[in-house]
Amino acid sequence: MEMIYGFLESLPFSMFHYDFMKNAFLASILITPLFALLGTMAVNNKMAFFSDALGHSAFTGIGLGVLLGLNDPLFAMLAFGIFLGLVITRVKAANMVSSDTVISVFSSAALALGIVILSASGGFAKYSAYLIGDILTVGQKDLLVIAGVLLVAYVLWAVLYNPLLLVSVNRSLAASRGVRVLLVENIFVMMVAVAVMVSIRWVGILLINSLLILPAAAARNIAGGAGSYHWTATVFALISSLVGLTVSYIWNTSAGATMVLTAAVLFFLTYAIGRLRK
Amino acid sequence: MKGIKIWLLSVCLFLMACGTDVNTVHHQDSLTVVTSFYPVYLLAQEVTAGAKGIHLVNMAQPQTGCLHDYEMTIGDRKLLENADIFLINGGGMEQFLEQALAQCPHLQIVDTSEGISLLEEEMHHHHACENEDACVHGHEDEHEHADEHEHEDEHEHEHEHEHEDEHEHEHEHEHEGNPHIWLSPERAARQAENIALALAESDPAEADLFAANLERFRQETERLMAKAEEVSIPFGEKAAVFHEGFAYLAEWFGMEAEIGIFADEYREPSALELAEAADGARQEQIHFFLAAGDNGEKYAKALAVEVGEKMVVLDPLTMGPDAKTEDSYYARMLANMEAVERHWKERER
Repeated sequence: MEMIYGFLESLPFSMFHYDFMKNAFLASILITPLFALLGTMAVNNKMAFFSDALGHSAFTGIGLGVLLGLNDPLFAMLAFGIFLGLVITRVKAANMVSSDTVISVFSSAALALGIVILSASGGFAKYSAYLIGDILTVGQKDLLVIAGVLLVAYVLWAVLYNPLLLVSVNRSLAASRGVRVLLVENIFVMMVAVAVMVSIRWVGILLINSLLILPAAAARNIAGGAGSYHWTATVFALISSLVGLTVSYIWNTSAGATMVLTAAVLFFLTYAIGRLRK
Repeated sequence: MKGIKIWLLSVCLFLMACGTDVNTVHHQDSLTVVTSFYPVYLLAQEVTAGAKGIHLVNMAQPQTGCLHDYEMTIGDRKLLENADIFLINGGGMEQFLEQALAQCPHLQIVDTSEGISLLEEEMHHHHACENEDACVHGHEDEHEHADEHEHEDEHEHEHEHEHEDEHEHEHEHEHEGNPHIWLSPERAARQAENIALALAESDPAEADLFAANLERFRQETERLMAKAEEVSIPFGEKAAVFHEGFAYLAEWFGMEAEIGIFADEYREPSALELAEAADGARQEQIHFFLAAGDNGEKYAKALAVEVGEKMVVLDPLTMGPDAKTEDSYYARMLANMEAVERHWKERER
C-alpha cells in the first residue's frame, strides 16, 4: 500500500497530495473496469435498468435489516439484492412480459416496499450513508474489501465469459451447445447484485448505474467484435473515472456526477464516430 | 366479479375501522402537548417529569433526525388537530410550520428559542471564521422574560402574527441563525425555561412542579458547563464540525469551529472542497473532527485520516432511543463531553 501511495505521490498531480484522493483514484480503477465488463452483458441483454432496480432494492434491504435488528444492513442488502435478481431472471425467462417491464415492475415494488418499511420505522436518515456513497470517502480498509470482492468477480467472469456471451447472443443456440442457460444467467445477476451492493456504499446509486451502462453503451457505438467491445468498455470506464475525478478536483464539482458526465460525453463522441463510419 | 366487489368493500370498511388511531384520541382531562421533534421532546420531558395533567407527544418520529426537509405526515396533522400546545424549537428549524398553521389556526405555538441568541448559520468551509465577531454573533438585546410572556398571553393566531410583525428584525435574524440551540447546555436551559413558563400558564395547578423540574434541569446544565471547564483541553483549540449543530457543541467545549462540512442527500462536498479543508486542518492544527453518526461521518473520517487524527462521533440528540427507555439530556450531553475528553487524553498519550 505504501508503495502505491509513494508512486502516486511521485506523479506531478497536486491532487495526489491527499490520501483521500489517492484512495478515490484506486477505488475507481478497481471498480470501474468490473462494472464496464458486467455492463457489456447488461447492455446486450437489454438489462440497462437492472442495476437501477438493484440499487433501489438496497432501500428494501436496509429496511429488512432494520426489521431484523441487524447492526450492519449490508448482509440484508446483499441477500435481498440477490433474491431480487433471481426473481427477475425467473419472471423474465417465463417470457410473458418484456424484460424492461419486468425490471421496472420489480424496481418500483422494491423501492416502494423499502420506503414503506423505513417510514414505518421512522425514516432512513440514520441509514442514508449506505445509499449516498461518495467515492472520495473510501478508506484504506474499504479498498481491501473492494479488491477482495472484485477479485472473485473477475475470476468468475473469466470462467463464465464464453457461456455468457453465447447466452447473450442467442439463448436457444446456447442451450443447444450444452450451456445451462438459467444457471449462467443466475450467476450473472448474482454477480451484478454483489458488485452493486458492495460498492453502493462508496459509490452511490447514481454513479453505479451509469458506470454499468454508459461505458458499455459507448463501446458498443464503435466496437467491431465481441472482444474489442469488452476492451473498449473497460478502457472507457477507466478514462471516464480518472478524467472525471481529475476534472472534479479542478472544477470543484461533485466527483461522482463528474465521472458520469465524462462517460456521457464519451458516449456522444463515439456515437458521432459510429455514425460517420456508416 | 360480484365476489370481488364485496371483498373489496369489506377490505375498505376494515381499513376505515382501523383508521382511528389510539395515539391521536384527544385526552379530555389533560393538556395535550405536542413537540415538533425529538430534542424539544427531550427538553419538554425534563420539564414535565411527574406531571399528571400533561399528555406529552412527539410529532416527528424519533428516528427522523433533523427537521430541515421534513414534511408532515397524515398522522402528524391528526396529532396537531388534537393538540392544545405545540412546542417548537424555533429559529427556522420547523420549516413546515406554515402548513401546520394553515391547518390548525387556533393551535397555540410556543417557540422555545424565544429570546435566545443564535450562532450564525453558515460557517462556510474553512477560514470563514477568521474574524471571530463574524462567527459568534450574539443578540445582546435579549428580551426580558416578563416581556415575552405578555406576548404569549394572547393565544390567538392574529395576535401572534402581530407579534411577529413587531419584531420583524429579530425574526429575520433568527432565520439566518443556526437553530440547533439545544446542543448548547446554556441555551437548552433557556429553552426549558420557555417551555416551563408556557406550560405553567396553561396548567397552573402544576406550575410548582414545572418550576422544580426546571430548577433541577438548570443545575444539570450548569454541571455540564462546569464540566467543560474542568476538562483540560486548552482554550481556543480549533475543531472541524460535520453537523450543523456542532458549532454549539464546539462553543460549549471552548473550541472554535474552524471548518464546517455539512453533507446531505442533495449536497456533497467536492474533491477540491475536501482538499482545501484538509489543508486548512493541517495549517490550523485541528485535533478535533466532530461528526454525528450520519452522512457527514464518512467525510469526517476521510479528513481525520488525512491529517493523521481520529474523528470523534458525537450525539446531536436528534434521535430518541430505540426502545422506550428513560432518556436524559444530562446523560447524553455528558457522554458527548466524555467522548471529546477521551479523544484528547488519547492524543496526549
